[in-house]
Amino acid sequence: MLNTIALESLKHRRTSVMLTVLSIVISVSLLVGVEFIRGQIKQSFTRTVSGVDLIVGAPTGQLNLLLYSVFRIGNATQSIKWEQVEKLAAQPLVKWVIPIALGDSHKGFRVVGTDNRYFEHYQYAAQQPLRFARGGQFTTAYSAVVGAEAARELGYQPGDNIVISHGLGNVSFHQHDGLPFTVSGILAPTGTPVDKAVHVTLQGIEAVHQPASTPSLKKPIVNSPPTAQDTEHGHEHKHEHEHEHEQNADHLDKATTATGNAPHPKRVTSASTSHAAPPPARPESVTATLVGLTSRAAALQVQYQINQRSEVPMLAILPGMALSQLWSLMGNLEKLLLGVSGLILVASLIGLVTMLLASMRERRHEIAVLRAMGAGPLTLLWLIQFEALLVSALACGVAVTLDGVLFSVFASSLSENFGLFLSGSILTLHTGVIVALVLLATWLCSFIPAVAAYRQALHAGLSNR
Amino acid sequence: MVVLAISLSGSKNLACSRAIELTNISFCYPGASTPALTIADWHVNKGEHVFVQGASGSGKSTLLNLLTGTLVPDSGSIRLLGKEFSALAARHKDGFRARHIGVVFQQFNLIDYLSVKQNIATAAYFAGTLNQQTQRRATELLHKLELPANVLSRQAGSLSVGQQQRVAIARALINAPELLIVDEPTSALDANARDAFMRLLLEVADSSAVVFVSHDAGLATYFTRQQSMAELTAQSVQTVC
Repeated sequence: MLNTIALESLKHRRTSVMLTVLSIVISVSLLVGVEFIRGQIKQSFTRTVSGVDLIVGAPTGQLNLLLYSVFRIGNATQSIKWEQVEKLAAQPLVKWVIPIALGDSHKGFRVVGTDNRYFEHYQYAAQQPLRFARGGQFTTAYSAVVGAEAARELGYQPGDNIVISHGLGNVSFHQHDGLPFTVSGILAPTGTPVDKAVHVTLQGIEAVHQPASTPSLKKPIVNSPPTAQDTEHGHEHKHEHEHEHEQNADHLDKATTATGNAPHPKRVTSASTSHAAPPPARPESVTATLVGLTSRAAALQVQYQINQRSEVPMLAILPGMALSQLWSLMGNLEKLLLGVSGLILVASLIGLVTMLLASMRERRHEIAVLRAMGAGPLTLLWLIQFEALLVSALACGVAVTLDGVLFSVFASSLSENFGLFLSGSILTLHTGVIVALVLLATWLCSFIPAVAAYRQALHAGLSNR
Repeated sequence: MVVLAISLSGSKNLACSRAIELTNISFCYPGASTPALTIADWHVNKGEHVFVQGASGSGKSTLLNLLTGTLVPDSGSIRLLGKEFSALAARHKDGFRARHIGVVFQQFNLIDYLSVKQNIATAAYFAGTLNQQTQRRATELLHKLELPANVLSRQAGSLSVGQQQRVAIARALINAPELLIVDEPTSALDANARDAFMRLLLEVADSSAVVFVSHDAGLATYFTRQQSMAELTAQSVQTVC
């Protein structure tokens, strides 16, 4: 019955109640949203890096290297030469390397140039390997493996042809449509940026950046280390960078030796017949390389060797340390955001208390009536608190639902524009804790009007005169 | 003017069936230098219908609040239905009031935003008698009070004054209280409406002791006993505020 009275009372004052609810909705959705994004960022970052001991790229900040090479956030300013990758792979302490070349896109999804070692060694979450939902690894130089989310959104199946675009935007005026790739496999979902990537071979990506009119006949005009403009992608349009056709076979053999995963010659030949140009055997440069070591304890030693002693300047970072730096940088921002959200919540709760206190005057006779019917002061105290909790619970419900809807609607946009890969439900333990704390705060704040009702009940008597 | 008339409603043994017994009551409002109410000795028998008449400020409302336990006397004893009511803890007083006392207010004081059914059920809820029979009892009471059953679902605030009066009576009587306290409910009514209201009230509350407070001496004829506040408070009670 008290529930009915509380509900009907709130409905009776619906305008002021709805404004109060709106105010709490805004603050709670901010709090929950900030906390959810914080958790998602940490989870997303933590899930994405697993089993990678070092990340090697051109000299830059360690955060920048981590962000663009693993999380596809931001862009590389330089790249590293393929020869450096080969040398790195040949080091005795290095178990495997995964070269990656970034810079192109396909219908808004980032294209990652790599080779089959990516599917063999890359791990996410708790050292889980990548799995194929359909199809398999690269089989030709023009194979593509599509991440789960990209395949779902674009409706791709193995066997489909795709054309990659120059640059990273959703819309590109430069389509590499002369050299389509054929989807050889679809990856199972990972909850990491891998899901939103289109993986193509390094050879294929190198080939599509060669002019179709001069297929592999000219010697490269420039064979110097890639410029910053080039290295933004690691393989930026290199119209001047044309390899001699004759060199390709030789390079192919070397690349195969170096990586153990270069395209099968027969398949390359097969692909070559269906494309305007045969693919180069190896790329000239890559954006970065993920490195697995024979022993994790060797990480510092190899890092030191790369950072201090390599002939060509390179940067090797430990993903864990880079992440720690990232967390510490984000920590203050998190605190600031949570602080602002908390203050907004306090303001909202003050609004709630004000609304309830203002209603006390008009409820004098109601309190007198309830007292006359046998309601004790404590019952009236609880009634007011229950009303406050109802308002707050309603607002929390709306706020969490609103956040859930907003995050699902803008998940793609967040992923594309900010590299924030959202996964999982907003109904997390953290969300539950926030809602519980808000309700607790509401309960405590509601003592102010509730005690006013209690005192009124004690002294008003039966008459409201 | 002092009006005192006593008659019995039903044959009762007065000595052992008192609904109200007040002895040496004194009550002061906080900060006041003189008592708002002093009563040396007063009683109402079970089933008795008493009309208490007095001018504004004579202490009528204070008396009603003392009888319902929302005010506590500074001294003296209030026994209700044989129980030492003034000595009960606040929580027990609330329970006692819910179960044994019905109250009809001057302005009826229905809760506007609740339906008639909810208004009546609230009284049953606080008395602990809310069950599936409550609606049946409410319908019976409304029938006796000449209200259609479909009024149960209407919001109290949407009723006419006459309908609100009757709903207020139904709410006060839903728990079949032994004691009914009525606080000037006819002050806003014309003569015809007032007569109809009084007849209905005393008819449906026939078995309850009724203490009806009003400044309107014209209502005294409906009651078996009349009591003026002036006479009630005339006897001296030693008290200090």
